[in-house]
Amino acid sequence: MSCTIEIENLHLKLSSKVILKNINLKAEHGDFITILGPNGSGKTSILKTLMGFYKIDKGKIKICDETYENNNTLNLRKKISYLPQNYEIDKFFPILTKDIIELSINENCLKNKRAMEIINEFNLMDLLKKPFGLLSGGEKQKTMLAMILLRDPVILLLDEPNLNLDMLAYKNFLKLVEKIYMEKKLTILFVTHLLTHISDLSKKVLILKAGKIIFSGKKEEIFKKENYIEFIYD
Amino acid sequence: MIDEFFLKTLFTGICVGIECGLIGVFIFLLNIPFVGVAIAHSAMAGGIWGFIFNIPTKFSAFLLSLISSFFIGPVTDKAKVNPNITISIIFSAVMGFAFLGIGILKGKNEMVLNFLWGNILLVNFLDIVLILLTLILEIIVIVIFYRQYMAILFNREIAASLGINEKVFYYLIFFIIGIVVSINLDIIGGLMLFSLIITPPAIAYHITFELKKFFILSGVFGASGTAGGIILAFLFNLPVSASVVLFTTFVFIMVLVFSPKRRKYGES
Repeated sequence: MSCTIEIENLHLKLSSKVILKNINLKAEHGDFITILGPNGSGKTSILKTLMGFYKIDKGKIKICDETYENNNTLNLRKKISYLPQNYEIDKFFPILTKDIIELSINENCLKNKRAMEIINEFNLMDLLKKPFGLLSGGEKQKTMLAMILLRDPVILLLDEPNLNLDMLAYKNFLKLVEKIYMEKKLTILFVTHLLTHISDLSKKVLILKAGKIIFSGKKEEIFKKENYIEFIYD
Repeated sequence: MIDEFFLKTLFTGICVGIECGLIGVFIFLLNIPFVGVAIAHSAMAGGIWGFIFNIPTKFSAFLLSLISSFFIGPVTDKAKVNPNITISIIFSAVMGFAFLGIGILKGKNEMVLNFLWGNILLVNFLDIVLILLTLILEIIVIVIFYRQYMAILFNREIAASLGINEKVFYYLIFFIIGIVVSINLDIIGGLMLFSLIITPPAIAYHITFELKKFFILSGVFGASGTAGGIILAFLFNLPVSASVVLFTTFVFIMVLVFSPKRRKYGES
């Protein structure tokens, strides 16, 4: 299924604070777009708005040619899988890795062919009976990615998946995302605050600062800018 | 010793124990222990004002409890605050309302205190029917919407992203808590109620990592806590509420000491 994301002139206010100003973004089917920016620049808010968690003040959002209205939010969410930045739970929280996977399929994952394929591909078999709260950061991210992919999305929104991961765990996670991207040709919006964490497959990078897009182009073009670190983070 | 009176008390106690243990899972995992106190005092305020306006106090107590519980979820979301803040605001509001009524009553308020103290020994047929109906409602909701509630208890945002209408399910939790508290409050009293909605899930938390078992164990510990407490109270002629609370707390301490989870996975 081919699907595009179109954001036109988006303005977002939360508790009377302006969060996003005049955001325009078009993602064609199969685009891998990175949204880069310092903390508090509004990166997560773009993803949450796309999920329909926030009511927009001005502008328009179209997902697969369908405009967000009040009554179709749940329906549009079916096309999108979202990996939030934070889902930390107490380590003794009563939920197994298997339960997390099954949130997407509503049946025993061992009896579901697609679930088994992804469990084997992600090397999750040995983790299934382990408590989710006791997994390492990398194992948790892998499990969450497997769970959201089982929903068969056409759009994948990843919000700072590098947080709480060490370099090696992040490298392995990114490899997995890239593999999925190549195989399934999903549309990916990948949020990060680290320039070094941009995937080579991401052909378009947006830089967000104080709720505004200040750059849109290729990763290499950022490095050509003078004082690019200050340009992004200052 | 085993007479109809004892069996009726024991049966009621076990049903209430299961009921409170099951609803306690939500209260424990959502970390809103104060919700029981707030709704209980709503019942007290409802009882006082029912008395003033000559409305059956059980009905007015039930009504105000439900109204309070109905507002907790939406107000929390609208104000974007921790649910404990909303619960505290509702608690202080209903206390103000209750004290206003006590002021008007001028000394005729002994009966309304029954809402907070209760007496399981005085349980009647209607009480037992209401307890059973509430228990059935709870079990049906948990069984039918188990997956939705698992997602919500894990993370509300993730539940929403999975296409679950999480707001409706989240608000429904408070509504059911309201029903459980208001139905049981004047039967078992506030002390026993608070103990039974918090301690059984706290015991289960130290035993299992599986949510399904967590619900079952919390219900079982609620039931065994009340059964053990009632038996001890009848054997040694003790106050039932105190006996149930202390027995349940004793079980909690034992499980804490020998916690299989902590022993296996340590404190770090």
